[in-house]
Amino acid sequence: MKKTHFIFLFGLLTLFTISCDDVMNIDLQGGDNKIVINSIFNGDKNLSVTVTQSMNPYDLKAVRELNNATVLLYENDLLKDTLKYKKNPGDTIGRFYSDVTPVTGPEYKILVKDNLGEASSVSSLPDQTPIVYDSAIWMKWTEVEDTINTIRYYFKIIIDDPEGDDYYYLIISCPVYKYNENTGAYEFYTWQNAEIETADLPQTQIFLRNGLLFNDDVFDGTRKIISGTATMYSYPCCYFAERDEDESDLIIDKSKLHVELHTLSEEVWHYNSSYAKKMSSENNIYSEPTTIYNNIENGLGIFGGENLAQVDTEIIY
Amino acid sequence: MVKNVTFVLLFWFVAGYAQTSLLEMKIDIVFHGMTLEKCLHMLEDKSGISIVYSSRLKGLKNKVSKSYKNQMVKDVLKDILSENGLGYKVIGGKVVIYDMKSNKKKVTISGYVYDSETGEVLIGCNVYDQATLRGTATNQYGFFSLTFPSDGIKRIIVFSFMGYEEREVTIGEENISINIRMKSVQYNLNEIKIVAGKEVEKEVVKQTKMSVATMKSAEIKAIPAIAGETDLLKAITMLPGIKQGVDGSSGFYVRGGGPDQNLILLDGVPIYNPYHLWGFLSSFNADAINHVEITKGAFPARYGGRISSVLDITMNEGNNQRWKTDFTVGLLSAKGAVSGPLVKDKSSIMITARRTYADLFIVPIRRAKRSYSDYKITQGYNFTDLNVKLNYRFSKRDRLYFSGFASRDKYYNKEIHLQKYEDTGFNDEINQGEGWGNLITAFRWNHLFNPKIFVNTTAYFSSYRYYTKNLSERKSDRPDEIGEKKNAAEYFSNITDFSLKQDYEFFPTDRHDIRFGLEGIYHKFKPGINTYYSETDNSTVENKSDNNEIPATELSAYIEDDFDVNQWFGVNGGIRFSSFFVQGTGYYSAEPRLNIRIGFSDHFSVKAGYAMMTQYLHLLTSSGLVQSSDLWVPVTKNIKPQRAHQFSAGIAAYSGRGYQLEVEGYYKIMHHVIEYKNGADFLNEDSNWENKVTMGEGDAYGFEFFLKKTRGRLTGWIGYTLSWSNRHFEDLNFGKVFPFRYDRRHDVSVTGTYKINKKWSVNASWIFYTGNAVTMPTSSYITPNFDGTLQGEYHFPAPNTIIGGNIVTSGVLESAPYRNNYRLDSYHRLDITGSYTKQKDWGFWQLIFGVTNLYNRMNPSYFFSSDEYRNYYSKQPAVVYYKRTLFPFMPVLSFRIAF
Repeated sequence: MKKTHFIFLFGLLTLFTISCDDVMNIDLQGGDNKIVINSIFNGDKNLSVTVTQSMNPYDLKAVRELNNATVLLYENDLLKDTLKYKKNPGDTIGRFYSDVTPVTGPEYKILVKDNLGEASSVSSLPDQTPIVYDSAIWMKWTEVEDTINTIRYYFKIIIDDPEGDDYYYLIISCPVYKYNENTGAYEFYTWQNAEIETADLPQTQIFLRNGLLFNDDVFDGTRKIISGTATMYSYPCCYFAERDEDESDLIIDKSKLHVELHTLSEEVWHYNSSYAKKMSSENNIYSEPTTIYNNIENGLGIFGGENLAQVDTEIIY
Repeated sequence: MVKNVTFVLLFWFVAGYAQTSLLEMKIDIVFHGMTLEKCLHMLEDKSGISIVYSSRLKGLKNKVSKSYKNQMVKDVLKDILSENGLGYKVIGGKVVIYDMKSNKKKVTISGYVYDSETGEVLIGCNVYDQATLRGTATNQYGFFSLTFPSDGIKRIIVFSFMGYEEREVTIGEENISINIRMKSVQYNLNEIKIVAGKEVEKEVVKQTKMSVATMKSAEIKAIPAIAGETDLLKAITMLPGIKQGVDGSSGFYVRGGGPDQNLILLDGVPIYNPYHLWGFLSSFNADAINHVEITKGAFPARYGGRISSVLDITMNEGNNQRWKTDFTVGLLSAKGAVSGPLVKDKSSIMITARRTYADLFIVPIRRAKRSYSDYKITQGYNFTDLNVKLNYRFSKRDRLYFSGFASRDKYYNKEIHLQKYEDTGFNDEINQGEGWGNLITAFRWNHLFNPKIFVNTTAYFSSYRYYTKNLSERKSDRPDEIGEKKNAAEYFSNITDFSLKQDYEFFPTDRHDIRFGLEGIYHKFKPGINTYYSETDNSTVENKSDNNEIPATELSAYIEDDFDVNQWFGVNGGIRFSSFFVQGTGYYSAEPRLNIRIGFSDHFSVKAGYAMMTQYLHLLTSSGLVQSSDLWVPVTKNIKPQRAHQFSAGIAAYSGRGYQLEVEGYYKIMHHVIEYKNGADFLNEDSNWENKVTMGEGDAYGFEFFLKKTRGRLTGWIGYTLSWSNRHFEDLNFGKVFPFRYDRRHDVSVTGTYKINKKWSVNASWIFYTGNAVTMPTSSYITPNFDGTLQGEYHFPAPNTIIGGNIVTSGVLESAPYRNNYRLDSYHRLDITGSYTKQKDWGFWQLIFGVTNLYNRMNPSYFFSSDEYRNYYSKQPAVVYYKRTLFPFMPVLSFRIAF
């Protein structure tokens, strides 16, 4: 082949394989500056909400606190409390706290007044569906050979589902400890979720942060056995990846397992489902962008209840 | 050029009135014992009118002695003719003399029109009386029937078809059944002047039907194609009113409608997913196609079942003169066609086949790259399609056809992982796959009851099937591992049709073309079945989510008449009755159709139409893009039929120099269109698809401009569409109206072919359209975790940055105010190909080469946001979207050989 022919062909191939990605110039005139109310409340602690303002994501992907807003809590349409703003050390955003601990039965309404206008929402606390404790049997554990120190647990959990539409979120986690230089000891830091897999919920399962979202469409009002695997990665993965901390300061105790079964209100179910959908479709180039479920009138965010059942267990190696 | 066009436009208006005004001209004239024939000649000379008559007419030799002063020509004519039992009509700009006594007798010429070389029928061939210009066109079986008054005139019937030499046949008083063979002059540029008579080109003005475009196989092949893969479904998107989806996706969108609203018929049989390679290519092999007609609105009553368009594709019948073979090798696939006579002039067969050979390269490369001693991978993709058509002529009145079409796409991935440690270990095997395919078979029987009644009876089977599977198996002899474990997840959906239909075509006179027919379709839907299977040493779990087989019956009947009231006015009116029975529920519909044409001259007409259409099937598309996994589902008790009302009006004009112009406006209202609810997916969440979808309304309106040049070395067209399309769903977008994804304000396409000489030709096409409507966030806000903490605070107090009093954290999300609130960049692209054809004694070979996207426009096929900008450590994080281009500058190369 002549040199000129080779150069021509090479140039052609180079053109053919050039990068096909480019930045899009998006020209939107400002965000819509709405009131954002967020609160997923339960029966274990007093109700609190964050109140912020939405912003233009192309200028600065951020939020602005509305700490001067007036936040009112109604129980069955009766004013129950005026919430007070407080920002604890270490909090990203301050919260408006109530003295009210929600209970199952009544309907709760939150109303926020600010210069931006008024926004409100209504929800209630669902009944708890407990885990049948004796059923939380850890059948086996094994190291996963093709990874480093990854542990896979085999589990079986039984719940007695009440009649009616019920929504759940199941997570299995291990405690993570962080070395404290002052005390010279490892102290509890957070929970690390194991990745749950099961074939028992074929039609309804949605994965969110390694946990499992599901509803009772196919087992309404019956005893349901959920078995499967929970895989625990040794090194905290995605939630740690963007942090400054030296990862060697962190250790995970794989012998202790913490099981949480959240019974969700319909609002929280829709919110979590749409959030999971958004997260899972973010890298799906063909998918229509998912709108996060929003139940705030004249605003954005989520206001909904959930109830929590927990089991702690220890694995004997 | 502008001057010429202006002149031609003026000519259109003037020419039509010429004869009428001449007849009203006042003259002085004296006939002194002259024969009537001489009187007519004298009148012609004096007034300038053009008179046509048969020399056999009685009375022409009669003597006339009359004198007229300041009399209108028409009065003179009427007077001298009526005395001799004759009358006249103005037809086609000429005064035609006829015998009033014999006017009630009729003569019929009927038959088939074929290509002389291949024996293929010519669809849409113009057949007309040279004197009166009154005529018809061959139907999709090449049949025509033309009936005239037997007025003693010896008529010359002209057969005219674009790209073929004209043929003439003289008929007298007797009925004639004749088969015409026409000679193609495809490679003889010097003869272009004698082909494709003006009457063919005038058809756009003279026909009552509107919103219709036709393409021949040669035109489809002439349009530059991506990677050189000639593609019918991409070619039709070059026509105004028809939009393509984003690059790399399947589906086309007609006048604001969805991709499911297009009825695609292959030899009269519906095809549900005519795409290969996840939409990159259509599964129609251009070598198998004879004729394509797409109707976008003003539907005649014979069409039904979809609300936006009907794409009617007729396959070749096969060369009934001699055996022919055609092979083409391209960048993506190779294809071949074989056709020939089984019994000369009686029976022929045509077979085409195509296969991609991508997997022949991919599999070894993947193997070499990824396989090592304990890990083996086999991965690939391929598609194939096959067309078969067989016909046999039993008699002059009966002909039987068999059509078969099969297409298949298959993706597969097999991985084997072996691991041993201290004599124990495991063996993991993963099998993944996805596939889809169509299969159709059809038998058709053409029968002529008499020269005026043609009937076609069709029995067909059509099936579309999609599947995906994911199987994993582990065999382990490790002491701490289960011995054997299997997991399987499979999903498939299927739609099957069985149908029987009869279509009649009745030609009582040269003014009427009456069609009527009836059809019954038995549908069988399996709209998505999930099977999960898990087996270990200790337990077996099996779940089957079966959406249940849904049988349904669709019945329809229609009648329509294409009636040329006179030269200037035509009506195509009809009505279609349809019904659909499913799950004990019946739906009924009466759909009126009406088109009218008002001709102002041979060169200019105004048309208007109304059509109501009903559709009993829905396509569930999960992302707004058509995918192979999309489900066809029937209407149910809860899901109503889609219904559309479309009004259209426009003009059609012809310049006399091979230019055709059509301008149309339309307004379409659609009811009960469906969409997935927010967040719903076809695989998960809910067992019943009805709960996943929501019904709404849609509307679309716009204007279309189409200028086509059909003669000369340069042929091609310019198309432009100005349009709007919106949707409204109570459950979506908070109940507010939002723009349809393919709501494109401007859509331009220019395509041309220049024949340099017999060997060389150049093809170019340029398309431009307004960017698609997409959903883009306009606000950022923070959302909570399940436990009430904020996103980003899940495990840790999230590190955050304060910028100007605003908080930057990883938990901030973006939100769009409404669906499809943003426009992507405009799309445009120039494709050019050249072809070199070398004729040989044994046939010819052809080399096609060129470039797709010549100036490397980076059109967005889709877009995505980048994770790097989600990092909250950057000082001022902001959302940044990237666009990805699937078709940058790309070479085109293919080689064809035919013998």
